[in-house]
Amino acid sequence: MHGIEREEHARQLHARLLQLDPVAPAEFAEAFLDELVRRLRAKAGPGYEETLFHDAATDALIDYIQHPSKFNPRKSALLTYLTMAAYRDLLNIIAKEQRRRRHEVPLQDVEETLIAGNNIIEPEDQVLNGITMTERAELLRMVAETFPDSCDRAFLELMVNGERRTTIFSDVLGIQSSPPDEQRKIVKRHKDRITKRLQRLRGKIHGK
Amino acid sequence: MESNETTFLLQHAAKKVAQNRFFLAGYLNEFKIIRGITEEELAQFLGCSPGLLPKLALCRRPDPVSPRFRADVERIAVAFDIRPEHLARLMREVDALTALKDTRPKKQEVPDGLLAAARDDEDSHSAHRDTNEPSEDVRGKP
Repeated sequence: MHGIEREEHARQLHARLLQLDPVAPAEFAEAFLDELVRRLRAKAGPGYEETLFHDAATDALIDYIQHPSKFNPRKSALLTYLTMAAYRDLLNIIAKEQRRRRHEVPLQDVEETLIAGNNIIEPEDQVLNGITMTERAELLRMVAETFPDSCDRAFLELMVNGERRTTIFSDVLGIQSSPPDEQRKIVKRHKDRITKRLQRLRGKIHGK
Repeated sequence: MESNETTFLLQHAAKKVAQNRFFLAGYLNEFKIIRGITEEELAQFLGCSPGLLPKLALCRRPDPVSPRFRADVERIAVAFDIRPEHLARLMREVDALTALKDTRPKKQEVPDGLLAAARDDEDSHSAHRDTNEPSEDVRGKP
């Protein structure tokens, strides 16, 4: 199927999804899931495990099928929108995996820590270990409330994980085609906005 | 015709939505568990090939209380060349058993003595209900 033909087919299926046609989700997945994986692979570049592409593309497609009205046809082509959503999911999955790995302590490190008399504790771990499950749940709720937009949350995760490359932030915002100077400005603006919200959140937590 | 990659991805997606009530996948899965049958036997029950099941699982679940229910079941049946009455029966069977599970009291969490007392209490309540219901009906009438 050629590009224009493919987009037309996607548009027709989108209309059927909006009309609650029960077969449309299955047809959409059959027609576009592998194309979405292909596009995601091309966008992300080499160095990722294949299962990550499958998970991210499937998650994005399932979310879209359940909420087709989130897509605005006037803003972009459907497959471009889905590729961006899948790419965001991919970044989220990677960030989650990085977080999980950071908390996995290799056996050798555990031994060294024990020898040092448990004195080597990261400050953030010290804070995290000191709070109860209820406090954790409350904190996560407050973060979700402060950053209701999934794009903002992906952006925040990258910041928390120490990402510094503008191109990665640009990908999340979907502004990779803008000139580099423009990208830097937009990314900075977003970082400032998110930092301000974080500061307000911090104030709320301390005020409690 | 589907490529190997498409087949694999459809299976992957169907597994991901196995617990998702938006999709038919949840019903197909539950039905297999309730009846203790294999994929092949499920396909046989519906009258289709097992290879079609992942795609079928990704259909939107027809809503049993919607006026569109019958039309939606027929739409799926026609698209997959399966027996509509069997698909409808599958859904009703799963719904009936889910409703039963939801209303069943959680016996194992309560000590025996308490359970017996609760049962007595429940019986007396249901006896009250039986006697009250008609009078409520009567009260409701002008």
